[in-house]
Amino acid sequence: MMLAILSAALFALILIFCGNKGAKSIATTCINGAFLLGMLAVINMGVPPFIVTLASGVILTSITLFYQNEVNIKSKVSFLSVLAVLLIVLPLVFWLIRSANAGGFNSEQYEITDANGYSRNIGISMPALEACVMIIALLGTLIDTSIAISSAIYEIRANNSRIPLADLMKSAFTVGKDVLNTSIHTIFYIYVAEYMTLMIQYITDYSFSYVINSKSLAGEFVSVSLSGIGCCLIVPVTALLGSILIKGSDTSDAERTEARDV
Amino acid sequence: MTMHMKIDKKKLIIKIFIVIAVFIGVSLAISNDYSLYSHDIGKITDVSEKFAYEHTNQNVSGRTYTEKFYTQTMTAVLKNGDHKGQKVTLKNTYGKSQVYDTKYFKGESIFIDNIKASSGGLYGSPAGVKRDWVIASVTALLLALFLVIGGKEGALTILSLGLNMVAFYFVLKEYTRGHNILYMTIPMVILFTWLLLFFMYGRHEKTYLSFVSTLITIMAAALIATVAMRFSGRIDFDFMDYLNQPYDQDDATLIFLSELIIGCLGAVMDVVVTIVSTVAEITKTADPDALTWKNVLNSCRAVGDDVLGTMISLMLFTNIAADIPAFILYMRNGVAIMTILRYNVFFELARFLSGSIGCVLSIPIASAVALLYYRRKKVIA
Repeated sequence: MMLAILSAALFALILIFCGNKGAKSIATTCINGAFLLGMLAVINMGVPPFIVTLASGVILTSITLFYQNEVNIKSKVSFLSVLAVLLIVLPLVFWLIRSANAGGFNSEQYEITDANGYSRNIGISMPALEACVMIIALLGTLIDTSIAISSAIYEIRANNSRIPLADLMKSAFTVGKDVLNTSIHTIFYIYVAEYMTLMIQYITDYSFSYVINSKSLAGEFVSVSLSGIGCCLIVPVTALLGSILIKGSDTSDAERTEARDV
Repeated sequence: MTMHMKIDKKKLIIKIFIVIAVFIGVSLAISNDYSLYSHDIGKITDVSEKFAYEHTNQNVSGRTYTEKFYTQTMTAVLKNGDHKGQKVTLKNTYGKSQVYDTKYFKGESIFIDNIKASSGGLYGSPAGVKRDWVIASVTALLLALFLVIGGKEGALTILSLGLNMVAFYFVLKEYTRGHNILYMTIPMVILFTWLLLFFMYGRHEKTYLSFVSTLITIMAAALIATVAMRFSGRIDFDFMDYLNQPYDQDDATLIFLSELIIGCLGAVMDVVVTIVSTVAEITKTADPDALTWKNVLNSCRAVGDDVLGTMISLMLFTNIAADIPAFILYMRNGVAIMTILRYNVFFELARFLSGSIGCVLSIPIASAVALLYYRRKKVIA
């Protein structure tokens, strides 16, 4: 019921305060949500989670970038950057899962037992699902950070079409640093809210040496830190790719914007 | 220009090396901190694995799943305590899905309980992986990346996050001593909004405008969430992740509200900063004749439109991701998707929705605050 009221409020507010593109974000969110449910259903059917996640990652990125932001050089640059960073962090994902060895549920969580009517023997690999969690959590911040930087590069280029590549890159990095700062804080507060109850449990019940080695901390921490690492990496990747591709892109596009601004 | 690029490249390679060195250094140092623990720790030198048994169960909708269980017999060398240097034999059973149990690997350091000597040597039982070095090395990697990519701003970000963590710790500590969590969250949020904006802009009118807009937006979003909560009856906190059981209904409600407020803080500030900077830039650069409040408002709306879509996607992915394992677990147990959405992922969805509401609200609120300010200053007609 509360969810229904909040959804209604969100939709109403978007329709009141936003233009067409804002209204489109309602559609994007619904499609993304439905797609996530579909992804879970496919994993539930027994298809290996890792493959499903990678495929979904690419599709979710395309929906958010190309449907929400339309197909243009900015969204193309962001798409390539997101894929590049995903490829870079994949080895890290495997390493983190293996060395943290913290897949599945932990003793701090609501326990699933045969006694409360549920079975914990479900025949799906929890470490593989951990990879799924890490990648999906990472996607949002990659897309958001990347599109912010590529839009900025585009605007800089549009305002000065003869800007040398090195200068464009330098500006891109400067913008990237600001974006990184706000993006990190955005995900930081989301995670703090998410794990507030876990932190309360740590403070009331456990010693530091228990916490730092616990399955719960390691399991959540690898996901949080991967988001942070990805958020850092997307800055240079987008700055580099964006400067080169937008500089090399069809100039008429940039000139048209200039003409319109005048 | 090529000279310039060459120097950059050299610097970059050095920086990458520093990041990798810090990462490896910290992970090696913390992997070998055995002497700091009084709990016995052993490093696994040998693992043999045997199929133990199969467990088939049927869920309510009639589908059956088979889980295979394996027994591991391991040899580990003790790294601390009275038996340091001696070998110990351990046994562990795990199910292939590893929902609650753990599969151990060769080379891993693990905690060991109940070490007993018998005719065949020492025996013990495994009590969890030693994970401190993963936490430490990943933290080091993250900090090194911040510094390399963010430069001075990166250092400020680290400082801000550190201060945040310390403040949260104290708030939660006071909460466990019986103080009201919401009453402590609110001043903390005000303080951190100020701190973060001050780090970003210093003493500048943009700091004040963003500060006021952020607080108004958060208040409005919290108000909407509270009203929605009032009209929807009792919330079932049984499924709130990590909540201490048994819980007190009012207390859990306050925790939930605090979560909603903190969860949207970063995103709201992000949008507010974008809008306020836009207005400030326009007042600086635009043709004075074109500077009417209507034009500026339209620009704000366009910028808001641009950032909103990806921001809401970010809220969705980041909030929902952690619930994927639980979602699958319940689906496999035959629980209907609507039931899972209503109970199990309720809190994540609520945080996502109220965070998104905060993002949307920050567009008109930040525009209005900035416009009123610049109109009063007679910059905008």
